[in-house]
Amino acid sequence: MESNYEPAAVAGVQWSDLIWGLPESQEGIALVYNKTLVTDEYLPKDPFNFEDLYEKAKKFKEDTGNVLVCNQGFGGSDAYHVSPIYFGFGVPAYVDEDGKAYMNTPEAIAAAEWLKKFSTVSFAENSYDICNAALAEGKTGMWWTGPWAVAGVEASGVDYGILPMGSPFVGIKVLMMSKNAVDRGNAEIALDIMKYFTSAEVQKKIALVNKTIPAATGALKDPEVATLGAVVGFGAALNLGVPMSPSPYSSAQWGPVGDASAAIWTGAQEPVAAMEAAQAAIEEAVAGMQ
Amino acid sequence: MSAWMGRRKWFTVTLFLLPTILAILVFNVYPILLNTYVSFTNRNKFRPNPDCEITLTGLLDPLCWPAFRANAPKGLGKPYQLQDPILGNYDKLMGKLFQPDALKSLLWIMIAFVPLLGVRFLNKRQEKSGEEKFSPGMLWLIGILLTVALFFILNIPGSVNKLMQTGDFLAVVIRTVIFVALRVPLTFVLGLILAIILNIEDLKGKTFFRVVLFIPWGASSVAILLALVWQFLFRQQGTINQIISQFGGTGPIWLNNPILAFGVVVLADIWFSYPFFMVSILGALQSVPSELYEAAEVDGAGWWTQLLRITLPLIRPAVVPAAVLTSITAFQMFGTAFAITGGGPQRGAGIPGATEFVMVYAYKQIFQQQNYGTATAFAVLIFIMLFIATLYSLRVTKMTKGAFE
Repeated sequence: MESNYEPAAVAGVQWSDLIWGLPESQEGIALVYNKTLVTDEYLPKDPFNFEDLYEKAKKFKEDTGNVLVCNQGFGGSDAYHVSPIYFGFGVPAYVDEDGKAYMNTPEAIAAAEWLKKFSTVSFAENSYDICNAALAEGKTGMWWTGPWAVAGVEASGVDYGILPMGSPFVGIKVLMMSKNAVDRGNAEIALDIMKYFTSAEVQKKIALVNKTIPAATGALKDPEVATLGAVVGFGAALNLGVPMSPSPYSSAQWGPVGDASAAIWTGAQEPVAAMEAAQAAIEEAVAGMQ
Repeated sequence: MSAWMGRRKWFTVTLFLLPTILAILVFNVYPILLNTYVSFTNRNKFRPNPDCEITLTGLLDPLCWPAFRANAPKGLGKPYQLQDPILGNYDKLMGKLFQPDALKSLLWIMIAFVPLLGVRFLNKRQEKSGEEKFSPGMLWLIGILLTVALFFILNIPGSVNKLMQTGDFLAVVIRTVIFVALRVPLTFVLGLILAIILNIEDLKGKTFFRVVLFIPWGASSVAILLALVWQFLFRQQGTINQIISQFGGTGPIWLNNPILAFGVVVLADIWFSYPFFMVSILGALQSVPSELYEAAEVDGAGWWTQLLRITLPLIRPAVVPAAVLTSITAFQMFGTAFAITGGGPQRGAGIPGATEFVMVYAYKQIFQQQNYGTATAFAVLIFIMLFIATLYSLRVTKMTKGAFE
C-alpha cells in the first residue's frame, strides 16, 4: 500500500493492523483568496504565524471595510473548520488513539484566545452559503474552505489563489467494501473495482475533472495533475496537515470542540473556561466508550 | 345482547375491547416499559446491542426476540449492560441536586414566594370574615414588594444559576419554564387586546381583520418554514438589521446573544399562537351581557375598572382552560426553537445551549448523540414532573367556576 498511496492516505485507512478500505482522494482546507481584492500586503506569508494573520485582517478591515477571512467554522459548531487553528498552534490532536484529549494544553488555550481575538475582525455569523456569497460579491477577501468549493468559486468568476494556513485536518475519502458484496459472493469483483478506481490513471482523470486531490502517489506526481492550481495550493496545505485519526475515540471530539469554539466566538464563555469544559466533555465521552 | 347473562356477556365484551387494549399495550405501555428499562442501562452509540443473556433485556428488547435476532447488527461494539451505580444516568442528570449547596438554593427560592402565599391566605381570610381592614390591592402590592425585596436580598439569580449547574435536567427544565412563563401571559395579553378591539360594535372591516389576524394559527401546519422566515428576519444581515442600518445604527447579532436569541424564539412563538387566545376570548366576550357594561357606566365606572371587574372575571371560564392547554403545548415546544436557533447559541461544551428546551434537548440526545441511556432517564424524569403538574392543574381548572355560580 505504501508504495502506491500518499502517507497520510495510508495512515487514514489502517487501524488495529488491518486495512479497512482503499483511499480515493484527500482533502483539507486552505485560504481561497480573491486576487483582485487581497493585494500582496494582506497575504499571510507564514502558515503558522497567526498573529500576522490577525494584524493583516485588522488592517484589511480598517482599509477597505470588508472582512478578510470567512470560515464556516467561526461561530458555528464546526470542529473540522477550526482545526487548522488549533493544530497550527501546536495541539497534536483533539483526541489521540488512546483516548487522551488535548484541549486544556497551553497550545489549545493559546489557539482559543486567538480565536476570540479574531472574532473582532470577522463576520459574527458564518456559514457555507454566507462565505460563498460573500466571496463572490467581494464582501470578504478570503474563504477558508476545501477543494469542494473551488468549482463554485470558479463559476462566480472570481480570480482566486490558494494559500495554506495552519495545519488542517487531512480527510481521506475511502472506498470500503460492503457486507452485501461479501454475502453475495461478489467480493472479488468489488475489490477489483475498488483497485481500479484508486489506481493512478483513473485518479488522474478524476483529479483533472473534479479538481480534487488524488491519494495515489502516481497520480499526484503526474505533470498534468501537479500543475493544477487547486492541487498545488491544497497540496501544500495538506503537507502541513494532521490526518484524521481512524480510532473510535475521535468521534467524541466533534461536539465538545465545536460547541466550545462557538461559545468562544460569540463570547458566551471565556477561552480558558471553554477549553476546560471541552476537555471534561471529551473525557466523559471517552469514558462512556470504554 | 342485553339479554345475555353472566360469562357469555363478559366474554363478548372483552372480545370487543380486546383490539383497543392490545393497541394500548403495544403502542403505549410497552414503549414506556422499554424506556424505563433502558434508562437504567448504559446504552449509547458505542453499546447499541442488547446482551440477551440478561433476563430483562431478553424479554424487553425487540432485538432479542427470536423473530428479530437474525437482524441484530453484528460487530458493533460491546453489548449494553445495566448501569454500574444503577441510577447512574439519573445521577448525571440531576444528582448534584441532593447536595447542601443546591438544596439551600432551592430553599431560598421557595422562601422568596412566601409573601405571595401569605397575601393570598390573608385575602381569603378577609373574604370569609367579611370585613375589609386592608384593600386586596394594597395587600397584593405589599406582597409583591416583599417578594422583590427577598429576590435581591437572598440573591435569587445566584441560586437559580447554582441550580442550573446541578445537571442538564434542571438547566433545561428551568429554561423551558421561563419560556412558558414569558410566552403564555404575553400571548394572553395580546389576544385580549385584539379580542376587545375586534369586539367593538361598529368596527369597519371586522371580518377582514378577523381572517387576517387568524392567519398565524392557520399557518401552524407549515410552522417550520415560517420559523425559518423569522430566523431570516433576525440574522446578522437579515431584514431587521438592514432596517436598523438604514437609520444609521448597527443592529445586534440577534442569534448569537443568548438573551436576544431567547427573545426571538419567544416572539416567534407569540406570533404563532396569539390567534388561539384571541378567538377563545372573542367567543367569551360575546357571551357577556351588555347590560352589565351599561349599569357600570351609570355607576360611574371608568374603562379600566370595567375591564378588571366585569370583563376579566366573566371570561375566566374560557381563558383558564385555554391557558392551561397553551402552557402544556408551550412546554413541549420543539419546531420553532429548533428551526430558528437549532438549540440556541452554544454556551460551552457539554452543557445545553441557550434555547435548548425540553424537547430540543431530548431530540439532540437521541438523534444526534445517541445517548439512549441519558435520554430515556430524562424522559422518565420529565414524565414524573409533568404527572405532578397535571394533577395540580386538574385542581386549578376546577377553579373555572364562572362568576355566576
